[in-house]
Amino acid sequence: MIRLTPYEQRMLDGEFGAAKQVALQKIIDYAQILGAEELVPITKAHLCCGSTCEPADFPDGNLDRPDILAMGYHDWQTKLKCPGLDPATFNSFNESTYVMDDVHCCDTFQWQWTQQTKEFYENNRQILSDAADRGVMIGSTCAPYLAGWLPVMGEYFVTTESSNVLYSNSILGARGYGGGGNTTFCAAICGRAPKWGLHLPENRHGTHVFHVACDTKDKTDWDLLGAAVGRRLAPNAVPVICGDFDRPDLIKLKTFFTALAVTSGCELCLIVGVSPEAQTYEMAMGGHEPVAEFTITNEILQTYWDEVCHKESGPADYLQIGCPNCSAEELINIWRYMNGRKVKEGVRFCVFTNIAQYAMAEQAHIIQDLKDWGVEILTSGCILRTINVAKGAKSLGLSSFKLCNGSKDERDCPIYYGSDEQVIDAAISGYWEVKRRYE
Amino acid sequence: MSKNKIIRGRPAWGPVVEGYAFVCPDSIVGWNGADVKTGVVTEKDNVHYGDSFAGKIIVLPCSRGSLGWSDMFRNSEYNGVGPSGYVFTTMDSKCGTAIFNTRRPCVADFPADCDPCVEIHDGDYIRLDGINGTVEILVPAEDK
Repeated sequence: MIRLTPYEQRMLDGEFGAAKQVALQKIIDYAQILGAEELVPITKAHLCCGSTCEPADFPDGNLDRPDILAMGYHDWQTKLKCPGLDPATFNSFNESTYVMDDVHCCDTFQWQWTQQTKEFYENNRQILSDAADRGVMIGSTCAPYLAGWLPVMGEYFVTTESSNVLYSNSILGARGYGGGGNTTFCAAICGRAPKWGLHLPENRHGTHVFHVACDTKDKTDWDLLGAAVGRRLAPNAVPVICGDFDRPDLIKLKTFFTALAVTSGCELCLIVGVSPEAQTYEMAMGGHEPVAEFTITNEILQTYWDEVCHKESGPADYLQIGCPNCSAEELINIWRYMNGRKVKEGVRFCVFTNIAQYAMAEQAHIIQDLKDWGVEILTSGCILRTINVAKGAKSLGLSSFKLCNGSKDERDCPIYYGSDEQVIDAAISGYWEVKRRYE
Repeated sequence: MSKNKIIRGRPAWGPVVEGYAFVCPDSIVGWNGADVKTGVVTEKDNVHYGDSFAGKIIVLPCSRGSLGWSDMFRNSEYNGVGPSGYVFTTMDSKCGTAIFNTRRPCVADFPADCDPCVEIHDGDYIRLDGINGTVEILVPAEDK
């Protein structure tokens, strides 16, 4: 039985409109499924708001599907994610919840480089515009914390992005869990979610301890460390990262969380000395004994590198950086490393970022310079999400464990994994030289 | 699990369903781990790669990977190829959303000494009671 506050009861009785009433009833069902007994107010929500069609909907890459082009906001969102809600009654997301949209299937600014059609692109633009009419800030990013969507310590949030759950819980000290598109959509309408899981302080302590004895100097080290930790976790585990590691920055952390998320169901990771709730090992464990302990070495990291990187050197014709979406700082790093060198003719090299970072980098003439050097700067997606972006590629070169892992399941071509610098070098030479990362 | 043995968890959603168990001890990766038009697992390293969970009772430790995990089961359900019931060793938010989307019977949150992914074998014919929180093996796979 769910205990409601007087305000929530009035909402359930329909006093604040049919949309909130229907959404709240569904959130109460969700609470029963999870085993929660009450609800919490949600003040930050991050969810997909565009067309949610998938690459699998277009197996031959032909986007001219009249059935999909005829679909609008309510088909992709309201009817799909909140069945039973009359679209005519849904005019706004909850007024006290800041809602930003997640990635979608198109670039924000263009359809040509991504090999889409103008009709397909404009259909998605209209869907996003209809979301904006309901109070959504169009950030279109998997890394909303780069665009000012920032729940603070103790604030309750919902999101449809698994790496964002980890970042917001582990680094910001906010409280939330992911769920998925439908429950997040309903939570953003009624401004409530089940009080459960990582909302509760008693669940926010370490369970599995990882002693870091591997390299942690580079972003790639943290990417592989994320995979190594994730693969060793039990359900609902909270890993504690300790040992003699190099202090990670924002870029390394968001990369680490992406790999950790894709290899597990983990939603909170306590990094000793970095996470606000883990300034010491004792603080991270909260008086509990470890369920299990692991030591991560370079030898272990190498096994994950081996898992996702094609074994033989060869030509590379699609290269990408940006998982999660690149920060403005990463754009500067790429610009510095390129330093005027040009992408080889016939090679397609793109960097995915978000609209906010793009706007700043544009003012710093980084976007124009990179374009002049043959790099395409894309927003709002990635190779797994932006339909047709890598259509026709004979091989891929990526700097993300998650993207390599996901692409492996979708394609049969060679997939190379390495650092951002290796991706850039391959874009310039058109060739990927395979080198073992750790000896 | 031997015939007629019953394991108990938390009743997450009812009612009751019977069917063949589809056990994935490492779960299935979210977003693109299955073809939602056929229910076939497409994750290449999965123990059930190439098999369909359509109409079966899926047994998983938890979710894994992208928050598109629940969409995978929502879309499978809408296409008529979703599992008929769900057993989760431990409920998590993505598992909860999958049940929210499909409204299929579900039992979850088993005690620490009971792992459904070990107790239930692939191909066992089982009865999942989402009202009382039990899973009963009716015909062990080895007896078929």
